[in-house]
Amino acid sequence: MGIRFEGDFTVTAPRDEVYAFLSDPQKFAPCLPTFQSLEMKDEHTAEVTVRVGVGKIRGNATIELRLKDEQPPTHAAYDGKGKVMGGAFNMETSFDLEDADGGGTVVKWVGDLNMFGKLVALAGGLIRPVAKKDIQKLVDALQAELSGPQASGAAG
Amino acid sequence: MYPAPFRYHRAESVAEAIGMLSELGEGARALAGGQSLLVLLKIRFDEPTDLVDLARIPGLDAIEQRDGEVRIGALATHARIARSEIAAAIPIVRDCANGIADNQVRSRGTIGGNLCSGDPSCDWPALLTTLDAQVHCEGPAGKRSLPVDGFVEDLYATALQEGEIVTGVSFALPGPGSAGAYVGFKRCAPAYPTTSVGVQLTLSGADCVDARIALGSSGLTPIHATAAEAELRGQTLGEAVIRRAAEAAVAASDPIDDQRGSPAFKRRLIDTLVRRGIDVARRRCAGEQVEVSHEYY
Amino acid sequence: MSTTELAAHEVPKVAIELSVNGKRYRREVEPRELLVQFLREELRLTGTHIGCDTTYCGACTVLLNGEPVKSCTVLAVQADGGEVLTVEGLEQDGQLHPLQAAFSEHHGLQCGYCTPGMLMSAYALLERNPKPSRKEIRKGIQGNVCRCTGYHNIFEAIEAAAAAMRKE
Repeated sequence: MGIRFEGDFTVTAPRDEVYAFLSDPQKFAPCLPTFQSLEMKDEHTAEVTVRVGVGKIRGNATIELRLKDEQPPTHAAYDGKGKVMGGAFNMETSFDLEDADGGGTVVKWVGDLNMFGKLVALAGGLIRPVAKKDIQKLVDALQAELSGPQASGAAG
Repeated sequence: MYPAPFRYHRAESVAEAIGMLSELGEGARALAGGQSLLVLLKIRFDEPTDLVDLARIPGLDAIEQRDGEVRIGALATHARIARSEIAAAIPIVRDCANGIADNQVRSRGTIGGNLCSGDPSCDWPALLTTLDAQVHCEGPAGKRSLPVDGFVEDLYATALQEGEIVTGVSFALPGPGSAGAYVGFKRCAPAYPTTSVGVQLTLSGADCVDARIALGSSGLTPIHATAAEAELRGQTLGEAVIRRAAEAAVAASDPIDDQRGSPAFKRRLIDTLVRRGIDVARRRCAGEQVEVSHEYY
Repeated sequence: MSTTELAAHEVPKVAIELSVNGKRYRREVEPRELLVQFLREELRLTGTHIGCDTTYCGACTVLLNGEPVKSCTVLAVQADGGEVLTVEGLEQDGQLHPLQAAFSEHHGLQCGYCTPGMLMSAYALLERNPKPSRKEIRKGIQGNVCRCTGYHNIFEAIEAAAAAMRKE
């Protein structure tokens, strides 16, 4: 089952700084909601563990995330594969950076998630709404991280 | 398929169950009939360390009516509720109890488990919201009763605190001139509903004195369609009024896109089911015997 | 999903005692053992089939304390102290149960995979309702899926069995 997520958000940090942050899993991964741990497998590959779930049902999802395309300071892409309760998934995600009118940077991002397994058969329809909430939390955390206290307060 | 290993504990009393669940902490789950929980465990969606079996606790399965109030114990199964005098007297309860899954699941599944699973496809939360029921809970901090509206807070999440269990539900016996219907559509008997709708009307002739409408399988939680109720309350039930109520119910829904149907399909279905629910409730208010339940192919 | 994953050997087994087809059994089981596994693997009563394994198809239907259940969705520990009737318990003294005879007579099966569950649901129906209408028969086997027959001959078989049982 494939799901595409996309969106954009604006931060006050300049493009170079945003690029450096988003192309380094060690920097951005801690912004993932319920981030647990990160281990660098090699220069371009990180194994990230996050806690996911609904209600009392919580489990770890592990994602092997590889930076596969680098075009500083405007574009980068990752691919990833991982396991989560009752299923497995592949994902591809990329971002494009543009200077925002009046300073700062616009981050345009897209993610394609492909899920497999029993979870999809039994509860596939719930994956999008659950993922959507977590993505919103990630975007909020990235905006706070890349906008400094005043800017994120203004955006609030 | 079988679940990941867990330890098994059998509670003999409510106090013992609360003690076990509190002590065992967040890895523990309460087990009643297991018709929602075991399915999740078998696909390894959830891997608790401990199960606390509540099913042998005496006295939690009573179905009784006293002083204008109906009380159903948490361990009452769907099948027993469907066969009870309460279901014979209150058709909307029968509609729901008989509509859930199939004979085998109804033999095991309980009203308390159905309410506590927090699964958006479960029918009792929507039915009980239609009847403005109270949920009776007991936990380390003692007893409390909560309105069922809002008890299921989010996907698989309820208002229960750690160590707390549901002991039963209660609602007022519908008065004269008040009747309801619970209607749903599913792809086949064992499947969860594509959507379902509960309607309870209090009529004086063709005038709607009061209305309650709730939707199941129509979003991430049961939905109390208050705007739809407002369209009916104080109105003479006619085509335009019913259309506005159905539209308001559809507007309150937020169906997910899944193998049961697209959101657009489900909205059409909700519209149809609200109209059907109002029609059946109205006929029942007038004393007509109408048998409905979940429809399937 | 738990943070501390348990290995099966770390979990204490639970002693259960139950009656299956009138015979008493005492066993120690893993808490996660399903009733259907207990019947098929511990007791070697392989007449109860595992079909979908997701509480859907009804092939694993048995009676627990007189009520039909999907034994793939009942833990063996939940059946402790109970009375189970499986398809093997229908035949008495080498005589087919009227339901079994009627399924045979009316070709109420093709591949036979769903048949044990069908028989148990039909048995539960006729216990409660000796003279079911066609509609009541449909409802009685609503939790049992047959992919071969189109159900028609199953309805005929259940009607015939009901008639045969009423004459006794």
